[in-house]
Amino acid sequence: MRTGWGVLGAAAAVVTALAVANVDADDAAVGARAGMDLAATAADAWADDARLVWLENDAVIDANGQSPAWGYLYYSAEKHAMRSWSVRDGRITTGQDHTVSAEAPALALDWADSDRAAARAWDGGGREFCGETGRLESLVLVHGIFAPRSTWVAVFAAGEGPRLHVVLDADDGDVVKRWRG
Amino acid sequence: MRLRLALLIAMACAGVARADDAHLPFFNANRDWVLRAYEALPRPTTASNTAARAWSFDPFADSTAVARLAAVRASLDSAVTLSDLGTFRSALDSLLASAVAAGTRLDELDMRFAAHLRTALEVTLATKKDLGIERVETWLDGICVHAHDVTETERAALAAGGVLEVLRRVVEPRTQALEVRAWTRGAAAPTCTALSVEPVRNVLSVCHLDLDKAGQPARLVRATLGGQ
Repeated sequence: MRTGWGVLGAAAAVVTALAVANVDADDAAVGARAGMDLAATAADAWADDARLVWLENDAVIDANGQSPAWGYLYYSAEKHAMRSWSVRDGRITTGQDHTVSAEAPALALDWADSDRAAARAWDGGGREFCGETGRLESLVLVHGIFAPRSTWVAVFAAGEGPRLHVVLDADDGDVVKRWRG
Repeated sequence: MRLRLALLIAMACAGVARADDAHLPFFNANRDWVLRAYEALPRPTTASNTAARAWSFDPFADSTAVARLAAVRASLDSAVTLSDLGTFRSALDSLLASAVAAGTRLDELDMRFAAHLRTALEVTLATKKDLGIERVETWLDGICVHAHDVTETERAALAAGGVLEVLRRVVEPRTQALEVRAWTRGAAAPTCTALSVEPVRNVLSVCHLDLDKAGQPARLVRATLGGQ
């Protein structure tokens, strides 16, 4: 099922050329999975039944789907509460309780990392939308909201106009839907 | 489906303009719609014993595995034809697959167990013989996580050179403000010792405090135990 991810080596160079994001040179940009273990450890200290329900880039993301900081949102059914952590450079920089909460489903375990998602999103309409000046603005991984499974949502911005949202299957990277808004 | 469409429209209206280096900017910008969408999702039905399933798994007490092992051995012992050997091979492959699955499950349980127990913080306190500690409170990031009224027995143990464990708990592996407040006999205000701790992931971090004098912060000795 992962064959869809494999075609993107050549496209990566094009994507890189299109990159206009200015990532802080002090912090290395990494994929979303890089901070997972640390966030999971923090979540385990918070609640025995904590489950990862949402993640997104907490800093500027580059065209390759990598960012210096990622945010991980967990939900505990026992507490009926949400808590999130931001991981940057191998350290937790933020731990935040959320004042409101909803019972959120867990993300699937086998999601492809953000670099692969970004590559598929560029191919799935991002490149055409961005042209010379646009950029990848956000990558969000969520379950159930945009499709009845885990999906990446890539948000592309080009100037001040509407953004392009590309929803991708989190596992195989197939485009599920896209819209501008 | 209708809700998802409404969500998309709502998000289009709200936009997702983000400030760089904000925490969960997309989620926060669209939080109300996201939470509403979560609430509208169908709830999965689970068996009542789902939570206990992991603990009911004991490979060492798996009688079916013993029976299958015996069957595999018997199929080899009784094999006289190539077809019999094929049967043996099939039974052996099945057994090996089960063993691999059991091993994977054990690894998963081990990882979960380790994650639950290993990032921990222990704070201990020792005092001068004549201080007479009456109460100790431990605060993490401004929240009182443990309060303890020292018993006569514990006071005697402290006076004899003993150590009081004022906190031991699983903590998040991030920088946190730790404050220990100790009330000594006759003092109007507690003795406060404030420090920054950064528990290391999968390690027991130990902070030992030596309180020499009421009204002054305790001396700190740090240590770590465990880890890889």
